[in-house]
Order: sequence, then structure tokens, then C-alpha cells
Amino acid sequence: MGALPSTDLEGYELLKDRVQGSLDLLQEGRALDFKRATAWDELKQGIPKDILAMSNLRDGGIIIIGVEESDNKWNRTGITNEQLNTYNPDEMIDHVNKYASPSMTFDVVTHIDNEGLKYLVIRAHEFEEKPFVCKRNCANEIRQGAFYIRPLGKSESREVQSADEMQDVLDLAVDKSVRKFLQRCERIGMLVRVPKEEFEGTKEDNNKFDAELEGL
Amino acid sequence: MSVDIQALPQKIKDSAHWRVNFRPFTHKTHLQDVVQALDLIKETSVKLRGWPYPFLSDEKDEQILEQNYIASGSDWGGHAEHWRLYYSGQFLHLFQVREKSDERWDKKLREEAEDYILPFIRNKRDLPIPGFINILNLLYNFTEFFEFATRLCSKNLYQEELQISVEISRVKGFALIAQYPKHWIGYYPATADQIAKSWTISPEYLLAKNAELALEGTVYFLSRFGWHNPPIEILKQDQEKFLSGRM
Repeated sequence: MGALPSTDLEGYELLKDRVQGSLDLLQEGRALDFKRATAWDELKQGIPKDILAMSNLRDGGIIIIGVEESDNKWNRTGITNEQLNTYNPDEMIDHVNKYASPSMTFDVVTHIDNEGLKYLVIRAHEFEEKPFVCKRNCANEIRQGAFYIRPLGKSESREVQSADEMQDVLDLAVDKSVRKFLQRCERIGMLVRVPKEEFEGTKEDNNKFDAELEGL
Repeated sequence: MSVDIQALPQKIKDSAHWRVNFRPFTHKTHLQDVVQALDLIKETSVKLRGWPYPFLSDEKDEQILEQNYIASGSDWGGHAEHWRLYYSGQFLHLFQVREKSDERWDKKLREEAEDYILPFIRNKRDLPIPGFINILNLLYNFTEFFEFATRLCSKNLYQEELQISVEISRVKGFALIAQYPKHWIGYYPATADQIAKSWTISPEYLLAKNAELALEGTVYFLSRFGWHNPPIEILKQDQEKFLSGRM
């Protein structure tokens, strides 16, 4: 197994900021999941659900392994080298792809915080064209044919439970298609940038917008 | 400790800061209530780096739910921001220039300036640099402004033309800088205290060209710092990586 890349390497600058910011705030969210430090064998059964759900989320999400909950508080514990050595990115991606359709990829990196503790970070990317569907059952964790999501305002991964939740995922896919279609229209001259003066709002409207800003 | 959101605008305006404003073509009610406005921000904020654009605090006392707008902000880690989304569809965002407000970042940039900027200044003693603008951060900021506006369009907030205005103020003397591993060198100071540009565009054009418009804004601001021939292809590649969440 090759060494896991670190957030200190070139190309991971923004991920490093994001991970360190998340560790400073210690607040889970829709795009952020903490997991206690553990070896791959213990984590592998549940991880496809989280990665599928985060990949169906706009801008994707990150999972940080090495943060433990006790007394309703998150504590940074880090992960041991022994635990870390059980993680192999190729094996992890192969494992998740047993359940993901279409196939996906994600980043697996290590991060050292400002106190010297080490973490494993998984970064799931937002889907490119089609949302990810689960293609195979996995114990009692995930179900073939299901869409997994991170619900609005919550830090859990679960199956779609309502038409509105399904609509959110489909809207994201439609947005991508619409943008591509409009880019094509623009390339062939069907969409032009109209001169600014043709778009100027009325003075009355602009005065109302200015007034509501209260001088800001 | 919670933050007094109403007091933030003055603090921000007293320092080097950005002002971003989106306004629709006509002044009418585009949002019906608080829940719709809050959900819209949650669904459209851009989360491509350590802090979302814009940041909606989970703390109830860091949200303002007024008759005609919602607002939130933060004052954390040496960085203050305040935004408002009006039911008219107007969006306003004020935030400090992080390169200056974050003391650790400012210190680091000053150290890098020793190698990349100071050798290009003829009379170092007479030209103290009050702050820096990181070139990639400038690009990321513009990319976030336009991506956020595009997402608002996708959610039908703007169904007709909209105006996007971007300003940076209190930056006279600030110099452009590229942080390691970029090696763009030279002394490019802002000679004006404020730099501003606005666009009036259709939602369709924004949806098709948001990345290019962001790049256009970046290049315009760089030119106002005196850098007239930036490596546009490299900036474009960095922007693509940023937008795909692979940085």
C-alpha cells in the first residue's frame, strides 16, 4: 500500500482549510460527518451510505475520522498510525463502487491538526451528471435501488423519504443539464450578451432597492 | 460567544472590505416568508472551501429575521461578514478582506512579500504596504459570487435580468501577491481606495457563463492593481479545479 496523501501537499490547500475549520468549530452539518477513530474493517459496512449520500449533495461533503462524541460533545482524539495503516484508498473505492451506480471516486487523505493529532479525511465529490443510486444491498445498512441523501439542516445520511427530498436531488441534476444546454446555446450564438443599457432597471425601482439597504 | 450581527456592518466598513450586491430588474416581492428565505440560503450557499459563501449561522441569535429581510454573519477567526437577503430579491454582502483581517494570514503574506514583492520596489522605505490581496483568493471570491448568483437563478429567485455589483474598498496601497507554490512576482499596488465593477445580465446568460464572468471580474480587478497581462489560462485551470471541489 502506498502512503496516504496529506492535506499538507500541494493541491489540497482548500481541503486543509476546510478540515481544520471543521475541527476548530466541531459542529457536524449536512456536508460534514465525524466518526470515531477506528480501523477500516469496522467502518467499511456503514461508509458506502455516507459517501453515496454526500455525493448526492451539492458541493459534496467530508467525513473526518478521529472525532468522538461523549457527553453530547465532540472531542478531537485523532486516529492512531495502527488504525491508519488499515486504510487503502484503492480498496476503499472498490468497496464503495460495489454499491454505487454510476461508479464514483473520492479522495482519502490524512490531516494533522494544530495540536499534532492525525485524522483520516474522506472527501466525497458532488455527482457530475447523474445522481448516485445504490445498486446492491449491504446487510441492513443500504438497499438496492435506493437514493441516499443528507437531509436539509441535518447531519445524517439516510434514504430519500419524500417527494420533496427526491425533487431536490433531481433539481440538482436538472440544473447541471440546463447549464450545459445553455453553454451549448451560447457557443452556437443562440444566447448573446445583450448590452447593459437595454437592461437598466427604472430609476424608481433602483431608488426602492437603495432605500431598503438603509445606507449599507 | 454570540455576535451582534447588527453591529457588524460598521466594523466591516471601517476596514478593507468587499461589498457584493445582487438586485433584480424590478422591485417586487420575490420571497414570501422567513422559512423560504432561510431554506434558499441553505440550499444555494457555495461550500467549496473552509467557509460557505454566504455563511448562515446556526445560532438563532446570529440570525436577523426582519419584516423585509433575513440577515446573518459571523465575526470569527479574525474575519467579520454580514449579509442580507431581502424579500425583494436583493442580496447584500459585506465582508472584510480576509488577507488583512486574519492576522496570521497577513503575517504570512508579509513574509512571502520579502521574496516576491520587495525586490521590485525602488524606494522601500517610502512605500509601506498596508495589506495584500492574494490573487487566487481574489479568483475564488469572484467565482463564489457568480456561482451563488447562478444558484439563486436556478431556484427561480431571478427570472428576469439582474444586476451584480462587486466593490472592494479601503485598499489603497494594497499589493497583489501570489502565495507559494505560485511564483508570480512583481509589485502591483492599488492606487485607488475603491475598485468596483457591475454587470447586468440575463439569468440564462449567467447560467451559461458564470465561470467566465467571474474570470472577467478577476481580470478587471487585477488590471486595476496594474497587472495587465495575467496568465488567464492558468487562472482558468485553477478556477476549474476550485469549482469541481478538487483543491
